Amino acid sequence: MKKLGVILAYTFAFIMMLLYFFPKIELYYTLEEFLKNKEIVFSDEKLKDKGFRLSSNDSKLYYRGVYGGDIENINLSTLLLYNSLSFKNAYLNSALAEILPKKIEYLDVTYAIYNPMNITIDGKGDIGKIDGYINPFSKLLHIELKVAKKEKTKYATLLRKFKPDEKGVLIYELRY
Amino acid sequence: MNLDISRYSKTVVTLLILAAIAKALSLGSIYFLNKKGVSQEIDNSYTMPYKSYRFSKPFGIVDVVVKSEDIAKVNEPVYNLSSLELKAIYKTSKTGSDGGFIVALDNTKGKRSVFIKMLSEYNGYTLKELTNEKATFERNGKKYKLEFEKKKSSALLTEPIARPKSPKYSDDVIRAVSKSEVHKYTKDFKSIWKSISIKEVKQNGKIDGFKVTSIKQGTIFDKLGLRKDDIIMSVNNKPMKSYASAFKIYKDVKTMTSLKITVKRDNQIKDLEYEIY
Repeated sequence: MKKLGVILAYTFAFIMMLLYFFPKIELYYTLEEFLKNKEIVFSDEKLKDKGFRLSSNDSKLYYRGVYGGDIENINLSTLLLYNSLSFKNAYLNSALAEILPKKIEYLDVTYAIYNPMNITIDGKGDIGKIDGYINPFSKLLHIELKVAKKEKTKYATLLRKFKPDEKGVLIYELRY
Repeated sequence: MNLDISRYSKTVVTLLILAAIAKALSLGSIYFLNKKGVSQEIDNSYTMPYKSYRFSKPFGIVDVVVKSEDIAKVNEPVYNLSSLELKAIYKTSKTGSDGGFIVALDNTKGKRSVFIKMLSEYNGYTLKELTNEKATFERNGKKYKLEFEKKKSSALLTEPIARPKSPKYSDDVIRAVSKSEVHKYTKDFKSIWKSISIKEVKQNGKIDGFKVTSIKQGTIFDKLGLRKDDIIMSVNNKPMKSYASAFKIYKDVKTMTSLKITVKRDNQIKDLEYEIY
């Protein structure tokens, strides 16, 4: 039993070392290449490998070559049992202010062992509070948006695809 | 005590070996990953702002600017004068507005030859204009044209020529659009979507223009002379090869004084030119 404990401890230590030494910057570049095929580009960012997480500061977001906005900070953590991608303070292009919210305070996308069936989404911005999940097994994206009345009129174009439930929460679902 | 040191050193050595293996595996994985990031290429090259310049200007020949509200007049109906058969046109000036006459056969009078002088009246029709191809008469504010090789008719009848189906607005004029109308659209992004829909046209996987899939009648885009199925190839000589170039035009249009949209229409390249006043 003691021997099994020692083996488990060494295995855990090895996994942690693997995660620590894993080339996160190169992993990020690979992810960037994947996103490029979807015409999404993060440019001019300053990358920093912080051991168990990767931090990207001051990146510019482009979609189909059109400047979308600045993102102050992006954090990517891969701890095997807890993985997260979080965006902090995204300021979107003012030229698109009529259709998109100007600022997103934060947006966290998390995949953790305590909720193995879903990748959760949690965020807050000018438009309101965002909650949702992606179920990779049923290939479903579900987003719930709590929007103030004023914002509903302001972002009518963006919210056209959302449907309100009984509580007035706007819901968007996509099967991919 | 000796036993403990040996056990600690064994643990440390094992952990170091594991760390070395983990590092080696991590370094090995770099081989399968991208070594370079992706950056957005931005066109920082300076290009002179587009100005519509015509060589005739220095010689004092100024283009006629047709205001959008006047465009409808360009297409006012012209009627055929089918009771006469045009045989010859004689002009005393290039434009034919100063003088001249025509020789025609009157079908109502047994094909009798008639001479009609410029600005003179014949059966209530006044000869107003002469060109190499036709004579234009006027009666009760309506225009009637007489061309060579026209169908004969037994009576002095007039028949309207079918107006072109589309566009309502003529193609071969330099249009003028007011700045305020342009600004209205730049301020209200959503109204653009309501007025026009475009879709990228791809060739070999790359964008090669934008196709107009729908256009709302009466909107500025309709007035500009754009038509459904037109492929917008370039704006102010800048090729529309990306969404970024299209978006740049949207951003810069506020400062433009002239605009040239090159479209592919029925497999022919056509320039639509505008003055923004």
